[in-house]
Amino acid sequence: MSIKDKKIAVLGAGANGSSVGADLTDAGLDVTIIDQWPAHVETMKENGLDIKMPDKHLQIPVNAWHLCELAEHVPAFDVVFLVVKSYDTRWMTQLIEPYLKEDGVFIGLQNGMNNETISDVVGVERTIGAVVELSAEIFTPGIVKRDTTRPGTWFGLGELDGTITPRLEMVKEIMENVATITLTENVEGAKWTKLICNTMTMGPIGLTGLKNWDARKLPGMFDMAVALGRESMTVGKALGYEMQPVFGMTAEEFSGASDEILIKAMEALMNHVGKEGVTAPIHDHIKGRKSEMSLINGIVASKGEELGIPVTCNAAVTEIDRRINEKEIEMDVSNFGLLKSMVESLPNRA
Amino acid sequence: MAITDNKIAVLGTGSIGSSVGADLTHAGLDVTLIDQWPAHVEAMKANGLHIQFPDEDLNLPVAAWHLCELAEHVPEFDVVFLAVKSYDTLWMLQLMEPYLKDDGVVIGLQNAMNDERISSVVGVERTIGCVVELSAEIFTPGLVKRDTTRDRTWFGLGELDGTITPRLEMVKSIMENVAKITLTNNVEGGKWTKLIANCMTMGPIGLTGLKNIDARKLPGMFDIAVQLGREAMAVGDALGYELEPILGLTAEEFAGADDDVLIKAMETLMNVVGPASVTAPIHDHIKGRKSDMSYINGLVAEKGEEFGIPVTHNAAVAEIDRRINEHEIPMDDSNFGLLKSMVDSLPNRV
Repeated sequence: MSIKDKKIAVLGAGANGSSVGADLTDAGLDVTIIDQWPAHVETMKENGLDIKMPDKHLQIPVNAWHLCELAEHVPAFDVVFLVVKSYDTRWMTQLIEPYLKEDGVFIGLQNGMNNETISDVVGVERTIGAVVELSAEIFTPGIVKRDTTRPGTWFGLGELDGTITPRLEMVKEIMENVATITLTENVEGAKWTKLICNTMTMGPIGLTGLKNWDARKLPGMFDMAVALGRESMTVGKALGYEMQPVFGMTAEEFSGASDEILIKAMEALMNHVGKEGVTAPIHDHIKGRKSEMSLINGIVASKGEELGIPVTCNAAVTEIDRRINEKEIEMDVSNFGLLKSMVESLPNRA
Repeated sequence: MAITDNKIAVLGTGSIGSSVGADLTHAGLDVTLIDQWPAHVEAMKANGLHIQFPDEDLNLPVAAWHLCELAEHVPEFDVVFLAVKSYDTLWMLQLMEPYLKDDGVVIGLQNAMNDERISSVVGVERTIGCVVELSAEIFTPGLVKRDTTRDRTWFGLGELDGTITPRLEMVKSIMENVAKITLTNNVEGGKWTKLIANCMTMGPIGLTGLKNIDARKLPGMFDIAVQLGREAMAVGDALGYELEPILGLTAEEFAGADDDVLIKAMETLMNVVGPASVTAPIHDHIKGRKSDMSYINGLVAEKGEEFGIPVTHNAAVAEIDRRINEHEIPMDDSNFGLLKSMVDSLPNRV
């Protein structure tokens, strides 16, 4: 069965889902893009998608549905890419589950560690893991600014049991229309490695609203990032995750983890987003939407507390992010000062 | 705490949810209507709701949100009325759960037996059961035709453990703005009793597209309905449900259940909907949406097969409804002939 015969859904069409859906459509595949933002879906229905990449401007008609259209079309999908914030994982997966074929596959293109939630709904046997390095933003319905070119975008794909299967090769072939693909025998380890980088960059910088380029100049930012990364690494090791090569660094470099390596990882991730880009939680806060940091720094904090590992820095990032989400305080550069003072006043400093 | 201090959500604003949301808003309560149909939400935002009762015309502004707005407002609800098709129960509640207070309650204003699903998401301690007798239809965004006046609309409310609690009285005082309310110590029995009546009417008539007044004239309709009802009663009995007085019939009448009583139940339900109206699954099929009969006749069929109880009629209704949902056959009055022939040809005839 050729990949052209596969019925593919991209569930969630924010910046990343729209980028993926547009590329797969451009490749001539049978793709349906489904999203909860009505104005964006209406624009996609009328005008298609407009994706501005650094090296290419893609304008393409796409097949777009509102969530409520699933119960009209009653489709049967072979492949579903879930591209939503972590807090939307369970309900979105549950929504589409009746429309995923019994031998279909479900791939979460997300940050955070969501494969347990996904497989709880669709079954381990239909779940494939992915690590995502794609940077993009959407503020206007139908229009996406994608920071990473196709060759500069990278996905790591892996079965949860680590085997390299024919269906994994099939998903790779589909995804090669979007990015450079690596198959991995340890996708959960790679996802945690990415999560370490996210806790270091998205976490503190997301509270400030600053561009990466400006945030890196804040006194103490690199120290804070290193402390965040160390906590995340310690918790990951305690959970049994083995570090994996991401962002061009080897696993050995990562597991050595001198401060220089952590800083190199952070620099790599910031470069990935681009000098002028801002990290994803800032997009959420600008839109007045809650971020998913409770499932990134927050996972490190809650698991660390369970395991008795000091997680002061991650807990403080999570708490300040919660206050922004619940509109108690605003996203502002002064939150970095708040973060530093909270870390110093809290017990269990790492 | 006065009921005006409760933050109330109506999740799902088809014809029933819109009717409830409009009445609660009209009563001056703090109500937010949340729905997955973007055009309807846009119409509610722009023009409010227009509810046409037999005896009243209600036009009023309402607070309406798209699903995606929950992550903007990050609300905290005390009371959530879930008014969606059974197949939308799990994912809708998973979406809402983060916004339900720890001591909040969810009340499913639905047909079928969804309280186990509801409590699997929000916990038994936050679930209140409800039997619904409200007939309405919506085909145009913002505009609902409600067949039952407030006086003739009825809800039976009950805690799952059968106790009469202060919060049950609180929900009763909220819902008295919509309908006559009875508190029951056997709400699941009440819901199964309603399900029996739904199996008899919605089930076969929903396949035909006919108005109740025309469907009742089809040769054999009452015979089929009685068989459907007997199967549903036998399965309910095996599941341990005790029948409850609904539709103006006493539990004793129902439990005796000679054919005349079943027919009276069917007649009563058809009168609730009104002679010129059509039953709910017909609304779904007209809209090209799947019905939830797999949770009504389909549930009887599935449970009956588990228990070794003959359920030929309900299985045949569920199968024909599936074919309509999946667009294999159209809704048509010839489906009643198909139903009769399937029942005759299947084994296990009662």
